[in-house]
Amino acid sequence: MKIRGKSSDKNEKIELQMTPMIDIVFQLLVFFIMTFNVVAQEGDFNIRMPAIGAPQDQLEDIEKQTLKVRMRADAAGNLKELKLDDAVLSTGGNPFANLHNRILSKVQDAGGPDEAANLLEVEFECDYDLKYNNVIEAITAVSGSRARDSDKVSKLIENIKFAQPKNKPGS
Amino acid sequence: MRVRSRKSAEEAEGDLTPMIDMTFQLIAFFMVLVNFTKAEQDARVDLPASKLAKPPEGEQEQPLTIQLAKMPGSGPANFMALVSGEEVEVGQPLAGILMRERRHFGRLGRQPKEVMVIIRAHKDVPTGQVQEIIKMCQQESFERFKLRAKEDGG
Repeated sequence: MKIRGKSSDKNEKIELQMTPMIDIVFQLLVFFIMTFNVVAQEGDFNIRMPAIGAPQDQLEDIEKQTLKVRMRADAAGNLKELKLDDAVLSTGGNPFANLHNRILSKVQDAGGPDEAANLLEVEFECDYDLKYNNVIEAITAVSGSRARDSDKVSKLIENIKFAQPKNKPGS
Repeated sequence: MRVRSRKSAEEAEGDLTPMIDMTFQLIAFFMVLVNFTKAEQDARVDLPASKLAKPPEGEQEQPLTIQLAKMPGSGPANFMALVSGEEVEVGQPLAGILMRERRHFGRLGRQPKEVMVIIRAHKDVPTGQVQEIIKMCQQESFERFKLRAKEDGG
């Protein structure tokens, strides 16, 4: 009987071919790096715009006070004047911070955000050419605020609607 | 004199294990963060920023997304509406598309007033154009609207 002796094979190393794997791995890496795209988080603001001629919810509109925010634009579409009812808020400081403070005091007068949800609504009346980011800033100012060191949002008024745009070019 | 023996037969082997470990970790990182959900987002829409913009919680039923994108070039009238992959001007062509969308949702058994309309408008778009879109949607009996903004981290 032939007995396999201790041959020198035992000392030979089995070598794995790493090159194809590393090729593929680097290709995958390059693919994911190229397609990597940091997308900013997005969020929504609800606005209340019932269809034209739709029956109004009777319970909804009982004694709801409408705060009118008027925003005028200059020729370039930037904010020229911001008014809450008759008070001009764009004369000193940040107009949106002023708006936020005014709305905050209105909400506190109404008894807090929960009460304000039933009692107050905000109507935006904007110039046609006003740049849209001004509207979002104003909506942010009336909707609430977020604490600097946390994600907690203090809500103010979320009943928001739009009046017809003013000063449409060519009209 | 003592002479060092030659070891020419021995191969110099680099240890590849740490490199492969790191490479796989990088691949895993990019795989987890890769975002293919750009079907309803257009790079020409630079959303206005808001500190209160937070992603909605929970699943939404299929909304109707209308985008107002800034077209390349300068000028006041270079905004186009993007709906269902079509680029149209804000006006009669858009009204036709909205009518078609209303019928589409009707075939799916959904009333227009149940459908959420999400408006993704460029930050420089004239507000009047956004309001015109809302009015056109109202004429097609859409009632629920959301204005989209991006999160302002600053």
